[in-house]
Amino acid sequence: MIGSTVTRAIMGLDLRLLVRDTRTLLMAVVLPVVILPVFLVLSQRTQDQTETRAEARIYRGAWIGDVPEVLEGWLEQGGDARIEWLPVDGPDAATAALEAREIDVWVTAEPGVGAGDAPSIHVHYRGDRDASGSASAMLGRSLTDQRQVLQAMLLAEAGFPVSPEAVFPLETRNLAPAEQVAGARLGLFLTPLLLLLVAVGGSVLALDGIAGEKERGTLLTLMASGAPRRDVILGKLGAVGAVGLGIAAVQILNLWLMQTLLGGASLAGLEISIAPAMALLLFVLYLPAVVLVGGILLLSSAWSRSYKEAQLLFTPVLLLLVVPSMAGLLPDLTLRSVIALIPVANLSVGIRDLLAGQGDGVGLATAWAVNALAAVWVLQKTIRTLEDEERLTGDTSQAEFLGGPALWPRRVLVWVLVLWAGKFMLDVNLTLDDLRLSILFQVGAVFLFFPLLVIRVFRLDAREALSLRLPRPEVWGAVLIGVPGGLLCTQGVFQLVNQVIPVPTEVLENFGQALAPGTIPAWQILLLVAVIPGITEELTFRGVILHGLRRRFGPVGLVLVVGLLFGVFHMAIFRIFPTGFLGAMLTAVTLLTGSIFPAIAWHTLHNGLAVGLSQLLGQGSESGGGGGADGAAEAGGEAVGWLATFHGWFENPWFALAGIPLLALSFWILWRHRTPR
Amino acid sequence: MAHPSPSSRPPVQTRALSKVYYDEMRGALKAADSVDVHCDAGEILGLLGANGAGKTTVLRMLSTLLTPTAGEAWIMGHEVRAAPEKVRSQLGFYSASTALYPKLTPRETVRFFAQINGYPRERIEARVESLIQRFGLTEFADSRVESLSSGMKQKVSMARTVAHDPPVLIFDEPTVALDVLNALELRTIIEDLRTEGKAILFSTHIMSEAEQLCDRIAILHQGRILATDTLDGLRAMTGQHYLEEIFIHFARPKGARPEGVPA
Repeated sequence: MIGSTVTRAIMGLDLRLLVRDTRTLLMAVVLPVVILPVFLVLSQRTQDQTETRAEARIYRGAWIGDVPEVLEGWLEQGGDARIEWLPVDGPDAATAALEAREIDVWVTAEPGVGAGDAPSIHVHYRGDRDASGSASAMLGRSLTDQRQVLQAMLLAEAGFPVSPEAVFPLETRNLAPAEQVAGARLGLFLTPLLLLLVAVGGSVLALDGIAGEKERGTLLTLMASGAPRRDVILGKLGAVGAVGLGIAAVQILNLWLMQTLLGGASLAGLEISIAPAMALLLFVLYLPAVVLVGGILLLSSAWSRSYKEAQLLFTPVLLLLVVPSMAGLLPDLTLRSVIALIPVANLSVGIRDLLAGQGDGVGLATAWAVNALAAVWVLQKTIRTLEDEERLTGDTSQAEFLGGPALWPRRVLVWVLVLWAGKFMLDVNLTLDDLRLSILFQVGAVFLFFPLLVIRVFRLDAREALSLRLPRPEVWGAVLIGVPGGLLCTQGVFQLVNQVIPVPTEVLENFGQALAPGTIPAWQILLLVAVIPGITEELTFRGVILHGLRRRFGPVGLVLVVGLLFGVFHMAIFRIFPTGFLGAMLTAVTLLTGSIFPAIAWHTLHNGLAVGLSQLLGQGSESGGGGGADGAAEAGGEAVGWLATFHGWFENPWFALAGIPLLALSFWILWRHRTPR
Repeated sequence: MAHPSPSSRPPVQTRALSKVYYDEMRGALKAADSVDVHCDAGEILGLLGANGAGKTTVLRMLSTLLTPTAGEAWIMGHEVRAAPEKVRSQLGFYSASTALYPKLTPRETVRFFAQINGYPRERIEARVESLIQRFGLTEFADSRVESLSSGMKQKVSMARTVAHDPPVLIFDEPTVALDVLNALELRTIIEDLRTEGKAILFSTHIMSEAEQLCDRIAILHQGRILATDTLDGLRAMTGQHYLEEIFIHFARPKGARPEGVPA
């Protein structure tokens, strides 16, 4: 109850302060509302005038030399009514006249060569002048038309049909209802327009609401008060959203009015009527995106140390928002692709399709959920940024850790990002012919080198950072039970994802071939695909990365974040979720046991089991592994092609349910014998 | 961490409270080093120290704006790291760097801070009226804060600090930007608050202010508490009469680094 009172009080305060700040209100809110229609009217006028002038304009041209016989009649009729032909002597004089702007274009006819002896016509103009370019284009069109007339005459003389209709008549019919054509057009730009208006409108308050308050010293007053910080942010978000939506509504109304009053084609599409139910649906769909936009604005404002910094940040932030919002302009994107997982972009595509009468319920629901999750994440991040004591108090900005273990948690995300980028470059640019070398280098070396480098640079205690301690003996039983369960569940996740993002089959085939039985000895395959990744990837992900993130997240957050990172590092969209699921399980195992060894064993056995099954039983099986080096294993053993029935079961997501009891039993044992750090 | 029942602790208590910054140039800096203080209800505890002694760091850790590196601190029995929101709702924080909203009126300011601090809704208006009267703001209650004199603004700040009637008050160098008369008025208000039974922490680098106002004085130097006692106790301890001499006695032990004490 206090929460809502605080939220309302803060929202009321921010709105009240905006309304009382006459200058800001005038410049940031009223002025744009007035300027936009004025700008539109002016640009429409200018465009109209340019067109009228271009239509009325008479160009000046010169014909140098003899006029070919075939064009004499055409030229006698004026050639083209809008060219005034001036007498000019010779090409040099014509070039000079063109340069001196006395003429816009000049033409020569050169004697023809070859059988037909047709003369060739050359039109000369200057591309750096509008009038010259237009004259040339117009003359070109006129000459082309004339050529067709002459061609038709020649054909008629030779006894061929002249009219194209005589060859075959052609007619095109637009079957789309007019409102859907309008809807499709509106759908293209509704999302970018709306989000741009919300962002620009909301920025007025967002910038001032945190960065401005920080500068004026009122943020410290607020943060030292008993108001829960979540409520402070929600209150500010409410104000930003209200102003953003309010300004967007006013501007859209504004545009609509201008459209109605002025007519014209500049905003075609807005005149279509949206039924109340559709308007409500659009509002619901856009709501999380609006919250996300408001949240991102607040986050950038909270991140800035001053109002000026927040202003500097605003342009890149706006680009960040607007670029994905234009995804709908790309015609081939559909919601049944990875685009469904990209906030804002998914809405842009989904609403485009919805307004064109092809709404995808599942896709839109996914998009809504993705945007809502992103918004919640951004808001939590904003609260944390707001509480950042260096940013809040400003008087400790000089204090920066210099090396030492305490620095690692602060740098971990940057290092992970660099590692990812480095690995990405490596995977893209380096294609080793030998799969063995490729795995040794791209998995073994990279993920072994990274934790060692981190431990050295940050002077970490290796035992602590890598969780090198012996677990309780009961844990090993849990691992043995958990691995097959985990494999089945991972396979289930893979199959589920496969429904949304189909795995490119050539990836599977390539990998299947590379690991085809007989190419590489079995012990080497196990070493490369199971043991090496099992050890090195664990040292990296459940070792130093988990260690670095411990202070930032709770256990659930750690499981999700480390799992997701693990998935993202496998460099293929369709592997993020199955591999991420495995990563999440392994993180949970490490957290529960306080030791990295069970995760190493689990990971190795998981990969080994997956590849072993495919090697032993899937001879000649049509499915292989999944992308990347140790793909078959972590993508969930999709390689298993045992007996045909078993293979069939395995591709059925429901089969994965069989893994759940095993997994549950395993984690129950781990929980009973948990020894977290 | 074993929590004794809230009632067994004084309203303000710290135990080995420390804050360490790591500076690129100077390495680890102990802005607060194992600070142990407490403050009872109806008492003003002065934190006396030069600029940079760590007064603000200690007070900001108590008000949860900074997170301690080590040690613990309790406000009304709530630990600052374990229950920061409860801590903040039990205290009023006032410093030279906490500003007011210039576009609000004093009445709106007090009402806003009572609301966000969770003061019972039905009693807010009565509370606002009584504070407006108490601080002599009636005449200006509905003018915007930006149009008030600095002395008036100070009173509005004081009113918003106590808007929710918190049992603990923290004043971080409140008189630093005030003229003599306004500073005097402010001190009078703080003394009244002590009479009401508030536990008050008051930091200053002005010796006379500490002498006049504080029941006990903690001398803070380079992040450490050098002594905590009543003025008489400090006099007896050092054999010096004036607080300035007492402070120098502690801050610059005989024969030790004279350059260590900033002016």
